[in-house]
Parts: sequence; C-alpha cells; structure tokens
Amino acid sequence: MNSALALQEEKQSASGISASSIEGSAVPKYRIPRAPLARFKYATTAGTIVFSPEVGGIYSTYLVTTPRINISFDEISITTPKTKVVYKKQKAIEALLSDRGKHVLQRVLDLMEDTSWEQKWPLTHVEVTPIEDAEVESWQYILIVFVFDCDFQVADEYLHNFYHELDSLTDALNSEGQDILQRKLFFDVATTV
Amino acid sequence: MSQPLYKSVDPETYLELAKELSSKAQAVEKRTAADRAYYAAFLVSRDLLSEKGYITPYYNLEDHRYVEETLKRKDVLGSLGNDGNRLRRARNIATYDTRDITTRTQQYARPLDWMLNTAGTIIDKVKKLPPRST
Repeated sequence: MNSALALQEEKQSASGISASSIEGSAVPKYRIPRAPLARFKYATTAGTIVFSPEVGGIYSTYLVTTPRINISFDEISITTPKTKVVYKKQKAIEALLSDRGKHVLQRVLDLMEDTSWEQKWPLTHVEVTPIEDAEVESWQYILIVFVFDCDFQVADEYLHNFYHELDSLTDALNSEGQDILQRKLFFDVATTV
Repeated sequence: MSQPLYKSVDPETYLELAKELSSKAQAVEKRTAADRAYYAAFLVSRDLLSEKGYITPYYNLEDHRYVEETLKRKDVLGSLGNDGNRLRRARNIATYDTRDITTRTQQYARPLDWMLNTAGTIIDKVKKLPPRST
C-alpha cells in the first residue's frame, strides 16, 4: 500500500467511513500518523507555553506547531507553519494564567495557527497582552490580538469566523478549561493598514 | 410619594439615541453615541440575562465584568460574546481619552458604525435567548 492510499484510508477512518487501520507493507515516505486525522485539527500540540527570562517586559517567540500534513491525490507535503507571537508584560501574563491557563492559551494559539493556514489569513503576528479594566477594580484578563495586513472590516470577519472554531474548542475542553477561556482570554484584531 | 428624580428607562432606547447622535457632526455627539451604544448593549444584556435566569446582577460596576463573562458562556452567545468586551474597550477609549483618536494611537478604538452594529447584534441575540432551564 503506498502512502497516499494509506493516508486516504486514514481520512476515511477519521470520517467513520471505514474502521480499518493502516497496515502498510511498504515503508512510507513520511511517517503516517496512526491517530485519525481529525484529531490533529485541535490537538496539534499537547505542551504548554514555557516563557524564557523576561527582557524589557516583552517576549517574542515563534509559535511552532506540529508539522502539518497536506494530502492530495498524487502528493503529500509537510509544512511547519510559524506565526510570530509577541507576549507583552510576560510576568503579568504568567501571574494571570496558571499552568492550566497557559495550556489553554497554547491550544488557542494552535487553533489560530490552523485556522490562519486554512483560511489564508493575512496575519502579520499575534500579540498577547494583560489588560486591566479602566473602571472595574481587579478585573484583569489576557487579550489576544490578531494583527492583520488588511482593513478592519476584513479583519473583523476573520475574527468572527474564528469564533466558530473557538466554540468547537470550547466543547473539547473540560469545565476548568472552558472557565479559563470564558473568563481569562479575550480576543480582538488590529490592522497594519 | 415623591416624584422620581429620573423615570425608569428602557435601555434599548440608548441605542436609538446613539444612532441619532451618530449622524451629528460634533465630536461630543459622536463620542456620546459610542458611549451609549455600549451601555445599550450592556444594560439590555444585564436586564434580560437576569430576567431569563442566567445571572443575578449586583447593580454596580462589577456587573460589567459579570455580564461580559456570561455573554461568552456557551449556553449564552458563546465566542460571539467576546464582542461585548471589544465594545467595552472601544467605549472606554471614546469616553476617557479626550485627545484625537485613531487606530494608530489607540489600537482598540473602533469606528462608530461598528459599535452601533455590534451593540444591535448583541441585543438581538440576547433577546432571542430562551429562559434558562434549571
């Protein structure tokens, strides 16, 4: 069985059409995931964010997710997407998010990476900033801002599309994760145009 | 019994007022429109969420946080509830920053038409929510 066929069968398995597993007789060109491909949509990375020592209050990193496997009838390619994520006031972010919170943030950023790739977002980078409300005492949360290279109306549409993905992620989280997403993480867009 | 200092108000009328003010030329009118658009969405949400059994308001500042977090609940508006927070940050800028506002200087500032539409959308969605089943 060649790798393309094996992956096609894997796709069928993921969609419930066939329950058979992959048993390749030949060594595939690329390592084929045994888990259904559907799993990779929201669970590309299991780890949490690890911050390095803070320099000047701003920490910048490239988010690296698990390599993405692209399948067509005659070609398989693997890409490693990278989106620059800028963490502002890193210590405040760490204080606001527990380890569990950092894990949820990572899941959100992975989802963003997937969605950005699938919908071809004109995304320049992402900013993660702790916010303190102007009026309500002790109301602090993390704001995740997607910075787009397009006008505001288009960027706003991308964010609204992303809401649907976030709702799916919410369903996949346990109650503690849902609570963090609901209370600690908020989203917005900015544009460079 | 004494006359009320202020008669009761349907908070949705703040949105009507905001739309009216938005067509005026002066900055003070447009900024007041931005402020009222947020308050229309916030107060209608607070009152309807309370009426339908989703929250028990404090009737103080804390309700801003309470309502915004509740709007994001998956049995309320889900992720779309995030727009309530965006509306609030945009309102805070229009209300408190008296300087010229551009999205270059104030990243979270939003056009007035976006604020009016967003407030209207939140109000419509909250109106359509069923009473919370216990």
